[in-house]
Amino acid sequence: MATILEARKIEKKYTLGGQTVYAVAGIDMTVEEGDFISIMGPSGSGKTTLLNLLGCIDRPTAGRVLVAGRDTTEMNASDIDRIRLHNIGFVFQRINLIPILSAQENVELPMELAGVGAAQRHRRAGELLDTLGMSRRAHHRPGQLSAGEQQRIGIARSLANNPGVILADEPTGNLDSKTAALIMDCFKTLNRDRGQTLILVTHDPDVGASAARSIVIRDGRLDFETFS
Amino acid sequence: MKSYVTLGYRNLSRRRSRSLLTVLGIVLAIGFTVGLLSISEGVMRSIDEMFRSSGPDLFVVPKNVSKMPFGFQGTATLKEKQAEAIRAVPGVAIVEPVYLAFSPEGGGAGFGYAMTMVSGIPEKDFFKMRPTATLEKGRWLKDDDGPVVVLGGMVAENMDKGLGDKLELITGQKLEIIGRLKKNNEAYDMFAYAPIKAVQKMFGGSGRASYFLIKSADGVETKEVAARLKAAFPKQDVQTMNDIMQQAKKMLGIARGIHFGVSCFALIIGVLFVACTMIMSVAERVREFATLMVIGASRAYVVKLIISESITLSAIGGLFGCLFGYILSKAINQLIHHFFGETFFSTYVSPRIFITGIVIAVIIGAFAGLFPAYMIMKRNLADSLRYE
Ligand SMILES: Nc1ncnc2c1ncn2[C@@H]1O[C@H](COP(=O)(O)OP(=O)(O)OP(=O)(O)O)[C@@H](O)[C@H]1O
Ligand SMILES: [Mg+2]
Repeated sequence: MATILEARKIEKKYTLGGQTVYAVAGIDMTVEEGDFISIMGPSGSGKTTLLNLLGCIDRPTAGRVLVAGRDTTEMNASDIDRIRLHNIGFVFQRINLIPILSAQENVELPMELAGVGAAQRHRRAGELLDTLGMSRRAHHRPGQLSAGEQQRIGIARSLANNPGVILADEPTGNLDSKTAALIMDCFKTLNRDRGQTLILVTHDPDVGASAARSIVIRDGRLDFETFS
Repeated sequence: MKSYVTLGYRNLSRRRSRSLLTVLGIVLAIGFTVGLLSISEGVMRSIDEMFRSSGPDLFVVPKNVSKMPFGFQGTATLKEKQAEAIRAVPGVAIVEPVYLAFSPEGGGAGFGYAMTMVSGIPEKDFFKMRPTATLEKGRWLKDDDGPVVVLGGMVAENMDKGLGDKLELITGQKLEIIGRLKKNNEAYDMFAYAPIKAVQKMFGGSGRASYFLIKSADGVETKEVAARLKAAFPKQDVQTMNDIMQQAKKMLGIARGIHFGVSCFALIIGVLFVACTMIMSVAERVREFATLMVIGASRAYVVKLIISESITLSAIGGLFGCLFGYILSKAINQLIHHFFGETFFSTYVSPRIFITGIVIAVIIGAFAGLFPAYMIMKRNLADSLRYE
């Protein structure tokens, strides 16, 4: 199995008014292809910060993040942009679709940024929407969709450039339990049927339970890890 | 790549009334700039046309008077007889002594003064000097005419007077209107013409002239003739039509400078205006831009997106502004016509002015987009994602 993502003793510290806060205080982590990992922990424990570091949204103050075997520490901004574009997909708690673009256009956007031709991205967006059961909503704008539908578009978008791993920060945090269960089913199916590597931050123990690996962090440190 | 213009345009339609108000501001700024520029452009064009036109190309005037228009009557200090000496200078084809008088009537055709210039001239070489001039009504002057006058085309249009009516001079004397010339948009449209003898008699200046108009012979350099005249008459001043045009243009240069200043002002106001809108619009979308970057958009992409949105906004304003400016320039024409009557120029919206208007609008957009783009760029991505 290939290693998709690797964190080596990563740290993120913030200095506020002379006080140093470690949001992430030295975490080692290896993500293999096909993994389904949930990250849990109390509020403020550093889950979002960890995910941002793994996803190259933020840079660690110490330690290294390796994406597909490549050390990102010394990379310049445009190389990092490319890593985010091609290797990592993001799903947000607040979904963050572009409101002036239709569902289809939102899914096509990452492919456009990657320079994929119109015909090909059109076809792939169609397939992804179909996979997530959103074909009939392709030409709706986000404002015309329910939160659950929007999140499915969000997931389709994250899959657009066929990334090695999808990072999702509380993707069901804004949804009612029924819709949340539906979205979780989407993730589970993606992992089971397509072997999609997933890392999911969640507060919900049920969600955590559906993952094969569960990581609990506390005060920016790995508290314990369970495999099911 | 998604066309920035499409994205920019769609973003603008998100906050329709705000975008519309901003566009309106740009329309006004660009419109007034175009309107103002069309005035100086029109004047410049008319001057060039006049310079190319037929008529005298040299002037012999007393020393120490300014260039056209010359001094008032009573200052006719030259001797009419000098005309013969001038005619003897090689290269001189036609000489016309002029005794200048003024009338408060006619609304100062062409000059914006409240006066009409009445040229007292010998009747004989007038049409030779001005081959395009034609009589429209009445008759031309005769050698033994008394106090009569023929109106230039523009003067006639500015005056509610017909043949047989009287034209009053500022000194009270009256001239009977016996004819009018056709208006040909030439310099001679702007004067009225009386027999020099009659004018001399009125002012007691028998045998005197205010200045001489000269037409040089075909194929002779005006400059050379001017040099010869200067050598022959060192006590007088010789001016060429070219000198006079340059002088007029220099004066207009000041007007141009003012117009340029106004354009800069419009530019600055426009930048502030659009920047204000763009800053608001971008500040509302911090998380959206962060999302774009998280899913792989480069910083350059986001900068281009913001600037293209800003340019789209002000370019739309620029286009409509040019249209508005064009209408404004027509309105200015009407106003000038209404208040000053027939003048020697009309406003002119040249392609260059349109281009200037559009370029200013684009510059406004580009500058106005820079600051909000910088605002987004200097933010930390992770923080922007948390942004409410
Ligand atoms: N930009 C920042 N400046 C200073 N401190 C920060 C910053 N971002 C995060 N922190 C701190 O880092 C710690 C971890 O924050 P983080 O958002 O990663 O927690 P979390 O586990 O995701 O919490 P939640 O479950 O509420 O989303 C918190 O104490 C937070 O206050
Ligand atoms: Mg969080």
